[in-house]
Amino acid sequence: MVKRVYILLLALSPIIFATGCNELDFPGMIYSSSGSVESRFAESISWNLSHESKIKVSPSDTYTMYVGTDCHVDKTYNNLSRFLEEEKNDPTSIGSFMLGDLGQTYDLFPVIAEMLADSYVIVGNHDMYFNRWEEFRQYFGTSTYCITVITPKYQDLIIMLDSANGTLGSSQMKWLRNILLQSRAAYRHCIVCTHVNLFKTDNSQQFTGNMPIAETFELCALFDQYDVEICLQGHDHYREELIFKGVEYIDIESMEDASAPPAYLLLTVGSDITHKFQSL
Amino acid sequence: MTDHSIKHIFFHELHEHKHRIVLTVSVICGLIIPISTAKPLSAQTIPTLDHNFIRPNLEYGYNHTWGNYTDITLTTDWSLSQKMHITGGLSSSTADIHAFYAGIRYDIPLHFGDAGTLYIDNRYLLRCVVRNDIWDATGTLSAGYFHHHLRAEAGISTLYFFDSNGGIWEPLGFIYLLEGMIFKNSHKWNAGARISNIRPFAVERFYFPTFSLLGQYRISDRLAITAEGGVEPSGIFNMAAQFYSGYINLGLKFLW
Repeated sequence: MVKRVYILLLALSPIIFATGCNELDFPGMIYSSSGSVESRFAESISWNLSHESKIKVSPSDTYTMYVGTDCHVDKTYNNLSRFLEEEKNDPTSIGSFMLGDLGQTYDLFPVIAEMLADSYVIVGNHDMYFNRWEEFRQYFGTSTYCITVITPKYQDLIIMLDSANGTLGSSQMKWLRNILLQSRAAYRHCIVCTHVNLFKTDNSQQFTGNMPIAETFELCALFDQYDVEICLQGHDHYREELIFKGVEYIDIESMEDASAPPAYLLLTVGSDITHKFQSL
Repeated sequence: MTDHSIKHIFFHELHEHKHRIVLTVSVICGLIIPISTAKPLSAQTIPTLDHNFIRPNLEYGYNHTWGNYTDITLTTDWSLSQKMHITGGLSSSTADIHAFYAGIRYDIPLHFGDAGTLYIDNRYLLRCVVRNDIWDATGTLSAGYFHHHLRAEAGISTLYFFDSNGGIWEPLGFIYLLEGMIFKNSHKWNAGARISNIRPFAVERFYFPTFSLLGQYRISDRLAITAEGGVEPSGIFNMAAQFYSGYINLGLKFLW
């Protein structure tokens, strides 16, 4: 009997060890400590309603956007600093965008949050571990919102989504559908940002999951129907540019200090939208 | 209405639908004759997967993408020989998704004691996702083992989805299935559990397992009632899991 208990403990030891890890939230494989996307979406929308809409004014019809993702800050944040500095030095930029997975551990989170205070940020799955959503919410308030960019002649729409649980959930999907149905026609361009990538064309991230196939298809059809031009994604740590149903899907590699090679995306929005990857 | 006019209407309807009636009678005879003449399943000694059956199913499900839906499906498994089987199925869903699959399975019975059956399975699934104006085609190749209480299967899959302007290929996915049942397959009733990312009309990305509970009641050697229910969480390997979808289904299994 004692021998069996030892064998059981030995078999369970990786799990017991893993639950003591402060980087990976293994119990989150059963249920996320930050709750479901439904509850976070409700909190995000509630925050949006009690705060001013996010509007950015560009003095020119052509402007740039700096988009980074997956900085996974642990002990250093050199790439994040450089990314933000390059954005600050560009007079045509309307801002920096960070598509989730801000911290590998959250020891430095107050520092990162201060650095990203003027950025447009959404959550990634790593930002869900150990109920970090509460901390994220304390600094950024929301992870589902729209940004309107007003230029002298036009206005553009940028939609930021919470996909950290590998699904948008039914409420956020309805909200997205309504936004596109009611507002898209009033805007020149429409760009959607999500942490989790829609496609799985490679196995670069091994077991890390993205969306169910049904949701991938639903979003592809929705983006096609409402003329979304670009969908920007992170999570996969792998550069990928795909076109499906006339929509461009760009997956941006990680900005993590340890990643090789780290990069971010520089988007130039004018009559057309062009992009290039900038190495860090 | 007189008897004469009722008779007239009856024969008129009979004449009008004679092709449909002939077809229905042929299909029924085609099923009943092999069922009544074939060797019953329980007479077999080596544990094998159920074969020579036709199985209509009705499923109710919910997921965050489609909301509520109902599926009607028909699956079959025909033995070409003791080892070679062809499999196939049709499905139509109120979520506006229609699917067809065909496959071939090769059984390798292990002839020592009742050591079970190894098998190799190759399937092709084609789905028309009308709601999204997308088609998807999936091919799978897997190897499995079946014993009285256990079934384990693992393999690879490839997915191509497309519309009239082109598509995207997800070249390599992994499929798996692990199923345990309380009793032997021939027992009058049985219950069990399964974890898998494959279902007859869906091959999900490998990090989307479905956890299912299974039940079967054999009314006779040739007829069984089946029941199944399951949930599929999202974000398991993101370590931020939550409920994504669930389903229950009921079916009949006609064996011959």
